[in-house]
Amino acid sequence: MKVENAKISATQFMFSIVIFIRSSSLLSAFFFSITKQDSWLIVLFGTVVCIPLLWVYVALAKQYPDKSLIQINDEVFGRIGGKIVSVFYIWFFFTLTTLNLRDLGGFVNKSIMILTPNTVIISIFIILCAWSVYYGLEVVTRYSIVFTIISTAILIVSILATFNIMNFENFLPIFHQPVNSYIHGTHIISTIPFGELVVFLMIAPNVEGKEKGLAKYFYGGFFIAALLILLVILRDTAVLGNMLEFLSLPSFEALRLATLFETISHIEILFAVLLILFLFFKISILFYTSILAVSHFFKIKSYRPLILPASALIVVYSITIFENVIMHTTISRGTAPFFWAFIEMILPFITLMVSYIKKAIKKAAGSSKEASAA
Amino acid sequence: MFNFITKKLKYGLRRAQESKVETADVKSNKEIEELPITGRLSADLELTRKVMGTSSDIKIHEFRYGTNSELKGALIFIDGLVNSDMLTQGILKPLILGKNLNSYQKESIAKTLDTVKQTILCSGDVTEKHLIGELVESVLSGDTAFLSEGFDKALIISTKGWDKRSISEPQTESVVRGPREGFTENFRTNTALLRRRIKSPNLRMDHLTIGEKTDTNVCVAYIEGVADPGIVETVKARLKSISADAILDTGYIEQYIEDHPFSMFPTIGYSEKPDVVTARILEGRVAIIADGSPFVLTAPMLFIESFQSSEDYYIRPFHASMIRILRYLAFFISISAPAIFIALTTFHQELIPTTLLFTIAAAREGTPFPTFLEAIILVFSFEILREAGIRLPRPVGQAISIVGALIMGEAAVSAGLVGAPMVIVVAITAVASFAVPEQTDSAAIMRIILLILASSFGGFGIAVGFLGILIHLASLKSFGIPYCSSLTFNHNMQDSFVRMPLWAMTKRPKGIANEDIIRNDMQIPPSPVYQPPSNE
Repeated sequence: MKVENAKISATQFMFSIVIFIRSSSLLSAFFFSITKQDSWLIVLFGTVVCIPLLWVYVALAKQYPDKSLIQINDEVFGRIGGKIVSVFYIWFFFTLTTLNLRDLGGFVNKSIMILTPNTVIISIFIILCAWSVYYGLEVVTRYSIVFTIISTAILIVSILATFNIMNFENFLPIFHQPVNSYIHGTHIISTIPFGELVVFLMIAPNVEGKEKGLAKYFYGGFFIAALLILLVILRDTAVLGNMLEFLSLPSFEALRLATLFETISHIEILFAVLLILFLFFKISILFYTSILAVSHFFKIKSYRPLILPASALIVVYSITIFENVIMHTTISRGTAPFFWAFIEMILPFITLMVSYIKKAIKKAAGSSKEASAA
Repeated sequence: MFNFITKKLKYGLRRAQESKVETADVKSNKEIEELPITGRLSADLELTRKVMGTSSDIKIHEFRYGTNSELKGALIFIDGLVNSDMLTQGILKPLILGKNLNSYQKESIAKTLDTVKQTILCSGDVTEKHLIGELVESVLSGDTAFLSEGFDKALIISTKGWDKRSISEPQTESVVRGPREGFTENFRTNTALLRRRIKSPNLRMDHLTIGEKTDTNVCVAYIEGVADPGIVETVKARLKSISADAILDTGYIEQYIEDHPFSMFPTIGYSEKPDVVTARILEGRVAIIADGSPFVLTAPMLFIESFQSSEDYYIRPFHASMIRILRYLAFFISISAPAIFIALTTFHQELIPTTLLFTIAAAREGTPFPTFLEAIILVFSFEILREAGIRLPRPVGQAISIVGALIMGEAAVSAGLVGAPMVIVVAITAVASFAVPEQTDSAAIMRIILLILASSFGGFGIAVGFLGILIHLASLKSFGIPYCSSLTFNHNMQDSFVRMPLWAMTKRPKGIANEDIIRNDMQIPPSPVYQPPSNE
């Protein structure tokens, strides 16, 4: 059973990963308050920690090249066990979609449209994403390369524009935080942007030439994204210094301080543009994977009938999920990484191990059969 | 007993009447057209007259020819569609004053016909037709039919020669540098213009006729071995599936065969210039030429094609690339300038530098309408001016644009009805929209959509509008090729945002041409070596 027949190129897949992770860097406030000026180290630690995690994902995708995550679960854990595991993933995908939508609504509400109710903004945006999801994977991932180029260009412009107000003493002292906070920060960054890549196991079967180079593109996208995030955090730390930990949107504030030729002063509008572009991309991918997962779960022939009910569900969920931004930040800093770690790290690892054991048992059984036959 | 007889009689009578009706039916035009040519001249001419009616331009000329003028013949042609020189010099003169047919006449009638065809008629294109319908069809398309007593076929002699517009410089796509020829309304001239540029035997021109009433000649031109056979087949299949009664312009064909009839973007390209169409055919596209239209369609079309002008390739690459980037910018301005202005002035005043903000506020002081209404009024009055300017005779059109643009704009500002900044923004928009002529129509619609979104949701509305446009663009396909291929960097980028030098444009666009991808093998800059003249 194939719900989606579209094929996307490996480059598109890679840059989708870049945008997907990069969009989280816009809301990087979660760990700034924990690790302060050493946050850039956290990115490096997180990258190192996530390499084995990516290896698990790639190994799963290689083990079952034509199956999505939900179908892999069915294969590995059997019919009932698979469904139980899949429920976790589906809840996770929907929650991620919701959280990102809420982030967007919160940002727009706070900085652009102060008087408009959040519901209106969220509803408009989910309609947009639903429209793109309706056309399928090809359309959802089509602009990944363009968006990457735009975002990199804007990053370079913003670094140049803020260069005169950067203070490199802001990085000192290095390694001056308690060890706990490094572990805490690494945990956050490896679960909140990086580990979310588990979503791409839903898309991996539709990548062209996945037999040869899926691992290359998976890792490639991940490293490019990590590098971009590193640059963003270095810029923010250098510009903002101690102010960093008090702000909810550090990048936004960093750009607000930049001036070009006296007249062009408010280049934080670039940040707003980027945020809307990226979150559109990320929400579309998450929305797409959520309903694709549901359709694989119930073995429905097409995911399109699910778009409308799912949109409604996501809108309601994202309005009611938090009371305010503070709650969101607190939960993202404390509770969420533990839930996420279970779903992003432990579950795929267990799945991979079980599949290996099953394979080994089958092989042993096969060889013993052969031996008995002989 | 009597009853029985009368019944029988009645039955007989009815049968007779019915058979009479049947014979009357035979004389409907459709059925006559199916009849073969009998060989009895008077009967054949009678049938032809019945089909073609008594129109004054249909000429049936009966004459006698042969050694002693004992053979009866007739020419059927349409006055005005045939070349009368050709008719008299090439057909009538040799027939009447011509060769001795006596000896052949005796042998057989078929032989005589062959002789007439091979040795008497001075024409390069003579065919034989057997049905009345076929005869009528060829006569209607400008040929002359020759019928003779005793021949059960008609000779169709090609004498097409009507008045036509000569090749002239097209009005729509004028260039500073490059060929100035344009297509004309004449089908053969257009195919010849293409054939003259591509002297490859692989240039195929497959012929079709579309339109039940008009029977328009349509030709599908492509290079075999370069064009994707799948696309060629799709184009032909879609053309064949058209069942319309008229094709008056290639615009009709475009609307019948396009992929997305409900999209505001055109998914089939057109051009009036043979060099442009040639270049597109050489890239692997398929051209559709129709009789009576100087516009030739090309498919598949990509979005970036609208930003490529033929002149880009005739001038050196640096300036060409700069102009091309400028066109993208102009397109962006033409769809979004009024929307951005409205979003800035009504929602995000803090983003405008202070001095500029004061200037705008001063200009808007005392204007009665909200900015949105102002923008809508100005955008619509510009569209009205444009439309009026196109339709009016040229000298009047200039007067209208001066009165409309200068006097009305100036008066509206000085009377305090609209703010001067808005007039400037709409004027920039108007000028910018002409930089990308193929997308002018879609830009006008997008501009208004963005305007409405911007005035209701500010910058967020513009972002939503642009994302919507991007989604829509990504969902479009033209004959199986994604419409925004090169825009999204997963395509051949040698000829998209910048134009690479010609020697570096090594490949034809991927996807459009699937065979024979390599366009040139140079890949390195040309390095001419100076050879001093030898002294010997």
